[in-house]
Amino acid sequence: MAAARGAAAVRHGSKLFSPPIQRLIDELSKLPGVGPKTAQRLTFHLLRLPPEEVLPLARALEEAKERIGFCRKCFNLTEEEECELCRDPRRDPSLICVVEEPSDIISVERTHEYRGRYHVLGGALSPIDGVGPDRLRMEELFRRVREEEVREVIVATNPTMSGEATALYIAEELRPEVEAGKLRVTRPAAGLPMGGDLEYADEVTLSRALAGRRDV
Amino acid sequence: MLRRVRLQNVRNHDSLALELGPGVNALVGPNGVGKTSVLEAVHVALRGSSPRTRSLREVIRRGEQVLRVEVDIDYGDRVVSAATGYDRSGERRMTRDGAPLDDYTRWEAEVPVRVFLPDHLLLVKGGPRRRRRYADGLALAAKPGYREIQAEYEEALRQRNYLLRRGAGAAEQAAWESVLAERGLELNRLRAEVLQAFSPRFAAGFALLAPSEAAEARLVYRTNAAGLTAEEYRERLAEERPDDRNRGYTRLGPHRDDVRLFLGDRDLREFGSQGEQRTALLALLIGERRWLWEEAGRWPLLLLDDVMSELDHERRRALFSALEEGGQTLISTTTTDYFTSAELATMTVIRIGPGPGRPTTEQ
Repeated sequence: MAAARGAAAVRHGSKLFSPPIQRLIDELSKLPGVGPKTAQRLTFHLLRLPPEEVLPLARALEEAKERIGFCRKCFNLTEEEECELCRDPRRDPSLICVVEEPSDIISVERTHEYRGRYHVLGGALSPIDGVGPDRLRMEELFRRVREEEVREVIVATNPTMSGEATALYIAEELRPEVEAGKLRVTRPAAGLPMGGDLEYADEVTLSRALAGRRDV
Repeated sequence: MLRRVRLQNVRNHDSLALELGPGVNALVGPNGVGKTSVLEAVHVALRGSSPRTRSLREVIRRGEQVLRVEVDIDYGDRVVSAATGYDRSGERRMTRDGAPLDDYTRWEAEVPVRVFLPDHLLLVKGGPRRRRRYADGLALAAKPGYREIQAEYEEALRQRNYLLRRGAGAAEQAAWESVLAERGLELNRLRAEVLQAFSPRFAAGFALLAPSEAAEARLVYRTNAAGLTAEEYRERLAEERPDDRNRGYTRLGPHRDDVRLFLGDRDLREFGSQGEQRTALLALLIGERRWLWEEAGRWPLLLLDDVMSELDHERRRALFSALEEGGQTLISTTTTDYFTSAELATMTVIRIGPGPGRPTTEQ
């Protein structure tokens, strides 16, 4: 780790910066989507601000990290042992919507169409990146399905290849329950965006929408 | 179209600038003055690589450190310059109007280039990889979603190969094999459609260049997944898993496709004469040229090295009229005798003399 940081430091020409500045740059550049240049810019921006504008950020980070954890049931982010959605008695516990990340829950919730529970996998299968089923909350999902009275699992992983493989994996593992007639495993339909013009739909979306066509 | 070409330290040229015209351009000069090197240089400017050699270092003039080629591309409403520099240490720099170009493939979409070198018959004679790439080029022009499907297939293939080596549970293997099978069949279907539509054009190109040939030329698509349903494809992948694991790669699928060139029932790759293979190569280029025009609305720039000496009088006329349909062509030749006076009147002749001196352009 020290060696890696040293190498990164040389790369950024950091001999110029004193250690606290360099540490901040290094930490910021670990964030997704932030490269060394952006990290440097952010660092200098933060250092220019008066303390009363920067310290709330530090405190917010600390507080969020201290107080927010994973729901022990669905692995959504929560301040409690169990998240609000898992505790809400009006939600149908026989329905589980499986998503890759906690932020996906917000997208589904915005539809106001779904009244079941969730399960956050924490990613999607990608062998090359070292992500197999053991790195995701798969066993926890299967245990929930077997122990709770679940009628349907809706696999709402992303419409990427990783998301698709993840959905197929879940379907395969739950096949005994499905074949016993106790469970349905479904996947949201892929198709054209509403309000969009056919003319502007990309070819892959359009060809998949055509493949999944229905009677009207 | 290409307007100006400037080269520095390319093969035997220290510095050379020439002006091209629309349509057919002939580079005329005796053997050894470096006509082929000019064609090569245009390829270097637009692709960053030479069609003659894998090592650009060989292309640098002896005793020099750096080669540089620049071409002006005239889009009608504006002129953009494309340049490639390469130095002996292996540093290559491609620019567009002076700004560094990160994505070298960018020019391929804007200015497709196709090359005929009489001694480079690898497309016809070599392994299937080049012919797959050729088929991909045809498909990319005709099927807008092709690139994405192909990229997805390759990604799924990498994931499965990785799983083979690492080892994984049956359900995880099966999940990736399902994804792979679906993309594989899609790629198969698209390639089959494109090659079926293209084969008659190849035949027409061949017939144009070899009219005395009685047998018909055609393209034959070879795929090891022919006729499989998605279910069967998945089953085959599962069956072959132990064997694939020993080999470390996946055998079934369109990444192992081939496109064979047949004359009657003869596979030209193995049983074609040198002359037939050259004709086939030229027929592929001419067919592809028209295809790109019809399917994608672009004529590729054709670089034809010493093609006229191979053809008789009538075949030269046939080739010339095919080239005159549109697009820009550079033909290297030792003499203008290969062209009729009517043809010479419509084309641009650029004379390259031995030794230092400027090439002269005649209209």
